[in-house]
Amino acid sequence: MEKGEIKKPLDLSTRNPEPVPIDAIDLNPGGCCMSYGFDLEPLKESLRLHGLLNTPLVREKRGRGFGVVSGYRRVLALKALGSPEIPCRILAEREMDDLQALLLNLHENLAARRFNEVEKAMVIARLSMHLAPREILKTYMPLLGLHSRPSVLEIYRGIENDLDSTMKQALVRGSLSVQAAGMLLELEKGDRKALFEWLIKFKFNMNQMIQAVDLIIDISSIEGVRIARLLKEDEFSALAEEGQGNRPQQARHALSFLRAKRFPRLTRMEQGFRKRVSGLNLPPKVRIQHPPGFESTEYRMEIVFENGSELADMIRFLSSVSGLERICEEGEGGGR
Amino acid sequence: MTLRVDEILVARDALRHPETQRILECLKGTPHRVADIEEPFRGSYDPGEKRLLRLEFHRGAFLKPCPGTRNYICCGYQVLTPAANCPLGCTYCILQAYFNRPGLRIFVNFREALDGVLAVIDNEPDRVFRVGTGEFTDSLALDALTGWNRRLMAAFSRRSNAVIEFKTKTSAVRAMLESPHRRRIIMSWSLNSPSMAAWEERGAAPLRARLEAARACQEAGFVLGFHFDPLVMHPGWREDYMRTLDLLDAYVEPGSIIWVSLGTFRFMPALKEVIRRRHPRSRVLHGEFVRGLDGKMRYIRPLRVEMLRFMSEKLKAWDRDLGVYLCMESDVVWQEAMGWTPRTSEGLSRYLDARVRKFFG
Repeated sequence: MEKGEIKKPLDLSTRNPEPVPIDAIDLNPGGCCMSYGFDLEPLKESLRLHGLLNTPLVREKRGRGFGVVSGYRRVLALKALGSPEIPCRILAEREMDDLQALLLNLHENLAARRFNEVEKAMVIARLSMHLAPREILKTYMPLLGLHSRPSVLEIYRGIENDLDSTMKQALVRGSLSVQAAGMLLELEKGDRKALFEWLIKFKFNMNQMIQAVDLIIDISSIEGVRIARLLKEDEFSALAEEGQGNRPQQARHALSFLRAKRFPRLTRMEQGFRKRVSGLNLPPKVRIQHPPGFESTEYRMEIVFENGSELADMIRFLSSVSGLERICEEGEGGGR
Repeated sequence: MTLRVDEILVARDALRHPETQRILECLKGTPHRVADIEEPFRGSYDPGEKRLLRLEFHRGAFLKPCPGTRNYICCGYQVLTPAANCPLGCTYCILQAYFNRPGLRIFVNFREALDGVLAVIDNEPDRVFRVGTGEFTDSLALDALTGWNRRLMAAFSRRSNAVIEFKTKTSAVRAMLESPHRRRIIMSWSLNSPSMAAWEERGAAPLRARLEAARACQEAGFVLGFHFDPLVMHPGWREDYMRTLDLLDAYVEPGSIIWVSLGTFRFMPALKEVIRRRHPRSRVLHGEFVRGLDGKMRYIRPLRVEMLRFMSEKLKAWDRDLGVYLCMESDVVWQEAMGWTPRTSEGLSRYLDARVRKFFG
């Protein structure tokens, strides 16, 4: 057998369960494990009420007890319920190699449930020990619902291998996105930890979090200061302190702060434009917007009206507003 | 420069091609293997793997109009592509994100495809073809291996409706100087400020070496072009770019310069991640960028105008007839930075075609 070659499937349907002492089962997440961030309580409740319906599959480890091939959560739940032994289907070590065992568990799980992002990372990291990236990209990433891109593969490997448990838990909870995790993984360990701890003080939505990470990496590079040190500076730590409104407001405020620091001139242009617009004292139903980034020369005016006569009044009023003709003037105000 | 290649991957169908065999003979001692063309992986993924050389067939057209972008004025250049990617490894290089396959690629069927390219040119005798090989690779960096430039020089020097521009950041001009052909050939250098050249263009020839090569070419009768693209904002950029302009003045005479292009740094958003990953100490991402009308990231408009105006004024002060033009800029920026505008891509093409006629008839 060559590396990565998959053996023919074994027929396990006729294999009778045998009692295995729980202490003989290795409970560390092994080479087949793809369970993370789960709640054992519902499973314990099911086991209490109905017993074990589907016996775990274990494999003998050379003179060192058994490793779990499938049924890791069931084993943990039964241990938590105090069972001294568990009925298991047992495989001799030579009957199934590591890759075959991993794939058996993968397909069983795929048929029964959805993986969270850390579990997908576990699958990819484990497959990477046996298969070439090309094979994982072609066959297994689509099975996991992932884009078959090398960069995505790298992120998921990094999630399993390099993220600490706090970050993994944040991924499972959804308070850290895979994209943001990918950006954090590019950082040195100390910077990654400092940035993550700073980020979770705010209630950033996914998009805001990616923007914040991007801005902080840029600011750190521009100022030539390591992220961990940068975030200890007063202006950064003060952002997360109380007194800046509720948590979504705090997040918006933090993002504005980062943006202003990263794009000082653009921020001054935006502020200048807003000041000029507010100096016009326009009716609340009229809004003027500058082009994104002041790149185009087309400004936009929006008038909200209920009927033609209101619109006509509004247009008459606008034509008499002094300063309107200078709204797009240059200076730290953008425009032509 | 010495081309460093760790491994050669030869596309299965290109293996028996004489050009493949010749290049393999040139690189004797470098390990090579036959590989499927899609095979992009070697260990961990590195989108910028440059020490891998692929020899393969190019299936598409070898001559294509410059990709340009919408909403900005394009010069109407024709890109000739004998190879893709570049061994110089400049931090800002857009090719890092442009091609979906890593590694340097030489298209071994270029020699036979050239006849088709020339037929396209000959088919439109009233049109001026401004052709360049420096868009998707460095025009000179691979020539020691391919030897194709000599053939291109001979072919273009016989045409009256085309010019070929060899754009480079190297000083490898010996083969060009040895060629008897000068007609319809433009030798061009990409220039930057001394600090940018030293920090961000580490695989390229030092600035002075480039200018020495330019001087040698000028003295040998070549028409010259220069490209300040990308202009990069950095602390002290005015003084820094001025130093390059002073060097330019010291090394070459303005009279035989057909054109000087100016373009501020711009990039596809995907390049940012690549630069961060491959060149963590690079400073090219430090400016204030916004998404342009073509989706690429660009400096905010006032910064671009400031930089382009500075460069065009200094160049104008050196010589008023340098054929300075802006690469991929808007009508507004042209007007504000240069004091005039060609209005459209066609207008800029006419301007540059007129430069060609002025220099080559």
